[in-house]
Amino acid sequence: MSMNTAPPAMAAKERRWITSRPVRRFVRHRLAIAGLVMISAIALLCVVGPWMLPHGMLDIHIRDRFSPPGSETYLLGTDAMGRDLAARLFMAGRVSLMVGIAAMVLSTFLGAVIGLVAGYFGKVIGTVLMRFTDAVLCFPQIFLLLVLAAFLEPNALMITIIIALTSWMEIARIVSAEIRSLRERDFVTAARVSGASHTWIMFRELLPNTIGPIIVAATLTVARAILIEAYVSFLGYGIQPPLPSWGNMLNNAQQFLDTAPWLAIVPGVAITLAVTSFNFIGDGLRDALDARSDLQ
Amino acid sequence: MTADTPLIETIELKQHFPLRRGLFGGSNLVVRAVDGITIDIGRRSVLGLVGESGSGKSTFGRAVMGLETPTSGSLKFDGLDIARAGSEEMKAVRRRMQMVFQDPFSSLNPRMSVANTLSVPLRFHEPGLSRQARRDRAGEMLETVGLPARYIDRFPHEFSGGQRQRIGIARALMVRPDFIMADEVVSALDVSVQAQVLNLFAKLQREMQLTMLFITHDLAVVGHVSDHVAVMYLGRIVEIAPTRALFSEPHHPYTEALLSAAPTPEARDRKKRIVLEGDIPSAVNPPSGCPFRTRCPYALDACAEGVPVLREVGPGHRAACIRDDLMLAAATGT
Amino acid sequence: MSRVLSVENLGIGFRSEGQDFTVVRDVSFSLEAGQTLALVGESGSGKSVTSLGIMGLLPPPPQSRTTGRIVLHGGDGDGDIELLGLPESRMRRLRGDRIAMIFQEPLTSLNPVHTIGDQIVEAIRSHRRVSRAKARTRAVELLEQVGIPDPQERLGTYPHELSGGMRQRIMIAIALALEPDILIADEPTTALDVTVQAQILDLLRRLQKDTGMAMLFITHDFGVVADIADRTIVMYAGQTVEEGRTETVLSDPLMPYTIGLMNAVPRLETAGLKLGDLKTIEGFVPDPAALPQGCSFHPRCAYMQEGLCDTSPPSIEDAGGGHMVRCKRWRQIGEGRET
Repeated sequence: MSMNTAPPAMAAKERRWITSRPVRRFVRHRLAIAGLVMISAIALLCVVGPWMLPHGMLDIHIRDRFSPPGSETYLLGTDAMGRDLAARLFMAGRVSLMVGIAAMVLSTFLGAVIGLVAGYFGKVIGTVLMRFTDAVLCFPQIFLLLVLAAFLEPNALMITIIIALTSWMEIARIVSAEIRSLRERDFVTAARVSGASHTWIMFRELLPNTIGPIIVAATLTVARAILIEAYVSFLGYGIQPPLPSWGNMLNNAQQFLDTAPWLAIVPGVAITLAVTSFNFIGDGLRDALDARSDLQ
Repeated sequence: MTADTPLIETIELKQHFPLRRGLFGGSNLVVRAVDGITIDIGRRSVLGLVGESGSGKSTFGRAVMGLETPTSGSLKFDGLDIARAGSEEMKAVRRRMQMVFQDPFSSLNPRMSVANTLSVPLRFHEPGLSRQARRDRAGEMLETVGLPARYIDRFPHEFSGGQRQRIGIARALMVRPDFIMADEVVSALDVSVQAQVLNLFAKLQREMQLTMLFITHDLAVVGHVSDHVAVMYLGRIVEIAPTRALFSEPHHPYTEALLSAAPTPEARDRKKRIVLEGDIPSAVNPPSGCPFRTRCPYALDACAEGVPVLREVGPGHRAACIRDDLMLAAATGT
Repeated sequence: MSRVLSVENLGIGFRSEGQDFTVVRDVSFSLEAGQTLALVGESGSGKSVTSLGIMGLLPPPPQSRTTGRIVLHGGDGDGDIELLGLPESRMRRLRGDRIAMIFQEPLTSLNPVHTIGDQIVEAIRSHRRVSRAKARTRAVELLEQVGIPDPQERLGTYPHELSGGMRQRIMIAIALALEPDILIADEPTTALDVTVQAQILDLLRRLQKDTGMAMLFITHDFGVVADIADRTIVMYAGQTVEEGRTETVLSDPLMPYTIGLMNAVPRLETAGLKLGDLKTIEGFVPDPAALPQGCSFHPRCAYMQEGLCDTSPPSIEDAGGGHMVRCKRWRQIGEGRET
């Protein structure tokens, strides 16, 4: 772009964020919008759904065991104990989404700080931190999870922490790479010359400039965290019944796969929808935020 | 502090960088970016530093700003030896030295408003100020550099290159420094904007009694702004003189070649132009003796023996060339 | 002297995010064999877009619209070729062969993973059916011609091993490989040091003398213009505002924008005299989407007359001897200077 033409803001009217370039780019991304709609719908159902249904998730209706979806008052059918599958699904959704999002927040925080420090200090500290990150990355995540889960009490909080501790590395690497390139920019030297402290430069000058890639990575982390939680719970090391999660619902369903396949299909579809939606949103955000022109 | 001592003094300042090579390092090659510079910058004066890329002029500027730790030699600011200064003294010195950058696009944080950008130096050097006081000072400074104070909440992308450069200048002046290092500050700007920014520098230098190190590759620009000009080649000063003397009576063949090569709108006889052969040699392996001898049209065998020292050739005019017999062409082409 | 290219009433516009704007308006000029025409202007003047338009390198419609005529005149028996609207396959054959181009930053135009020898050979063989060995011999010749020492050995080097000046020489060698009629040089010396710039300008001048090619030289630097160009066009906001023989335009400019630019450049001749402030042109180059009424330069013009300059756009007029000026007040400005 030319350097000395009239600045855009003076030519065009002030733009609101809603019409800003990243937002418009995101809106143009159809799959991302579909993902956003889907996730909003799932979240809404999980929040208000349980109150709308006639049955609680723990109400046992022995006579209605294995009702197929759509029968009488059971929207999605019932399980082996005659509990309403819809109610369980929505409650499980609360747990799974919460675990996914909380794990994302925690791992993003951890990854961003480690990446920031590693990228900013470079040299010894940076090398040590990044080699440590690589080392953690080399561990098979599921194996680590199962070992930890076997030793620790597997409640929702613990699962969240475990997932976070095993999924911050990607963000750390992204952030450290970004910081390493930003560190060479003149505005960082300018801050140094202005007398700014390391903390200021890291958190006020550098970190805000990596927010785009962090958001993208964080969104994809939610998807992965949901998947991991489902996986671990499916293997029985995760969220323990009677608290439902999409993963342990699948676990319960496996013995009835041929007689009551909906028990597996329903949570399976929920997991798939949630995970793909988050992935679509992540892709959309990447396209919307990653444009370099925006930084300029 | 006395009025006649220089604000900045460097003595045999050297800045060498190890050259990393291969997977296992293991080489002791160094880039001699700055290879022994002794220079004074008088109070309230502007020293222009010219040189081509690879001459080490920017590295020298960074060393003066304390952004690099010199390999050897000393640097004094207002009589204080920087290498021996305590942390409190150093903090005071840092406030008094500020810097303006070349690229108006990378020198401002894209995610920070003008108000925040301008407040950063105040936060660290005048921590007692309230947020509002910082904002007021930022607004005043914007006016000083010729931008309306109402732009204070805007972000860098809303400004043109010239306006950004003004913001960069405002940031440097926020803590009322005594010394400004300006590194190629107009080379990214269009001609008409360049003139505006140069005028602004001249005005501020006059009004705020600034001492300046003005680094550029553009001879005409340096001739316009500086009181003294130093010409740098391969990490060394080859000539230093009051501006008029340097342009009208150059004493170093490299200065002559630069003056001759600089394009000027005045139609000049093209045949008179001295076109140097080849490129500037590598600072890893500079020629023995005079660094310029490999490209010098007047080189003798004697030039390979020993690095020529800066010798007095006129009032305040020193050149590092062993040949006294040369009649070199001046900028005016006469 | 023969005419090799005519540009008539060239207009170029872009569409971006639903908005149309015109960046080149009604530009006409011609290139003569063995002559150099300079297009001078600041960023946003439309000078580079004009050159891309000639090369057919603009994004395809509807992202860009091009109007007017660009005619490549046939040399030996070929007819004239209208370049606008020419199918890409034919344009590609002309590019490099009859019209070649060099850019500001040679590093980005050279492929980092191929040796320079391969790149020159490739450039030759993409247009001519010659053997590899023959193309290599030609490559050595070319490197010699552009002043590269030890050309035989240099064929095996990679772009990053060379200095900026050497890389620009390589680009020139590639551009000249097929002996084009026209060389378009877009700020080819802007990224170079002055001493190297002098070398490259000398080289271009010498090569032009040897080959008789026409040159279109795009730059923002009047010093370079004085050095290389026979004729000069000054562009502002997408229009030609002044045109003529280089000496005339530089020593006797009549358009206030040209006058302003000339005054804004510090001069070597007055170095150290402390003559005070440089004269500046206030304000900005206008946004192409919101051009001012009347003369596009009038809001910044020192000679602006209300009711004249801000009402209708000026047309380009001949001030004598092919010195063209787009200003309604050029007579007064010229007279003012003589008194």
